Amino acid sequence: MVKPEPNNDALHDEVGRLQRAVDELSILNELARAISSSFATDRIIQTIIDRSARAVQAAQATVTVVNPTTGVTEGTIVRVNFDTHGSESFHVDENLLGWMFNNKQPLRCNDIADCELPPGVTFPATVHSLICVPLLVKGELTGVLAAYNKQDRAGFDAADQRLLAIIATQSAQVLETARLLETEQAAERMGEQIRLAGRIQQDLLPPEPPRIAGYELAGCSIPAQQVGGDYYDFLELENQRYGVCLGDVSGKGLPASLLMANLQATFRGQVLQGNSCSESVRWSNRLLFHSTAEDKFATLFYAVLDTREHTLTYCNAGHDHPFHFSGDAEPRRLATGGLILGILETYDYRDEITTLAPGDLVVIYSDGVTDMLDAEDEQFGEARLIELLRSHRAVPAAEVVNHVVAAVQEHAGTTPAEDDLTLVVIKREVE
Amino acid sequence: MSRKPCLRLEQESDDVRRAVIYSLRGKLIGSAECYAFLDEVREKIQEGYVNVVLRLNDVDWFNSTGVGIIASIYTSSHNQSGKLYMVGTPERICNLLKTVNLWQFVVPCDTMEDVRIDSAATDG
Repeated sequence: MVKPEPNNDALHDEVGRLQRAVDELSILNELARAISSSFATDRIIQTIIDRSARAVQAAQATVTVVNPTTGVTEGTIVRVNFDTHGSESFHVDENLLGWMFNNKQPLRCNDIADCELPPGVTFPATVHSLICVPLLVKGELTGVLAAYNKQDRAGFDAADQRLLAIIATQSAQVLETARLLETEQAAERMGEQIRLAGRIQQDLLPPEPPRIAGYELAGCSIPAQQVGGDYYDFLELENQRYGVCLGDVSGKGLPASLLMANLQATFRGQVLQGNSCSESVRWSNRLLFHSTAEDKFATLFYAVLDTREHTLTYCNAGHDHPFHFSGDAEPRRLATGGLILGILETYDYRDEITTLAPGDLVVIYSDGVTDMLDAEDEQFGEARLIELLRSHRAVPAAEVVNHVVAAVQEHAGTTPAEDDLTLVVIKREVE
Repeated sequence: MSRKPCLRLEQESDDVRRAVIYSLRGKLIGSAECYAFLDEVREKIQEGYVNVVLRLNDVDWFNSTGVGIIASIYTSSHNQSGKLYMVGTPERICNLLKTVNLWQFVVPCDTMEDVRIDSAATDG
């Protein structure tokens, strides 16, 4: 039996096909090794583009990263350009991205003038051939890999398209994993910075209250988030006088904490210049007015305790009125002062002087105490706070603080705090 | 499922009195809708509607961010020589605005008729 002679052309084609398959496998293997050795998105994209452009002999290639939910470009466009003659950079336009987002199909065109491109899609006249393939993760478009201008103007063929599609399939998940990792790392870095800011903020609070013969001071501030907008301060002044301050900046989180640090520094500066309560508040208001937006403000209660005269001179800038328990009478509210800080450039604040008898208790608190909600959205409220304070009049100031914090937290249960919780207690000891 | 908006508002304008009137319902707190509302009021003030009327009868939640929004509306209006009228304000909102001493700067009114009387007196 005589074997048929192989057709030379068919053999040539078969060898070419096998050679191309070997090349493709080699390219894909090289690509897989290259991208799996990096976790940096930009480097992975650069590798994908570089290998893709070489594999299909394109003059230029790009990857456009797309938000998989909205289809909007996230702006990461990396390119390589093997075209040494022209410096023009090509890119897929918004219309083509929209078409890719909806159709998730490759697009190949070897004569831009004659191609039936999706509606609105245009390219510069210097683009004569292109292939765009979608980068898909779980069926969602995460990017577009595009190659422009086949070298020698030969035009991209079906094999180029298939190879680019395989590269896209292989790259998309790796790229997405790298992107998620970067997002996670950025979130971790941000979290660490916020934790650091929280520690710095805690350091701005007094480490412990001053020890004063005949008086007890105590304070506590628990931010609702890692950083907060409340603060309290104890300042040792001249002639056995002590400044006691509690401020509450509008808003929450980092913006509020920055404003809080600003307010504390501003206010300390005014107090340490020897200004009276109302003067310190007035100047702080003016400074805060110039450094904040219209809708940002702070409430502030400032008092000077004179331990020789047993007086408390205070100015209340729009803060929740503190309680003054004296004897068996209903608690007085310390309301004198004026407007919240930062709203008007000038405002004349007023002082009031109150006398502290032995056993008197002054409680300054932020609205995080009374506004704390339980699971039924019921606030802790002033009535509950008054009752609690009345029943703990006899205990030391630090214990009063602990009792209030415990009661408020018990009221909240598992309901997360909406606001910072801050409390300062001044107690004149019974002689 | 779409999220239920926490603040609903109806707005009308009074060209004669250069006033913009807002009837609010829901929560005046630190939500995106509330800040969008603030931006809208500021824009109206810039357009010449320097007097602002807020009807807060149906606002059932109001916190310190709400105070900031009211304060900001007041200053924007005041800077253009306008007034902030507050009509039928619930007691708890009144009390909070009194605590922060903002209440002294607004024109409290029981009804829209009171607003008309005050603005007519101002114009006169």
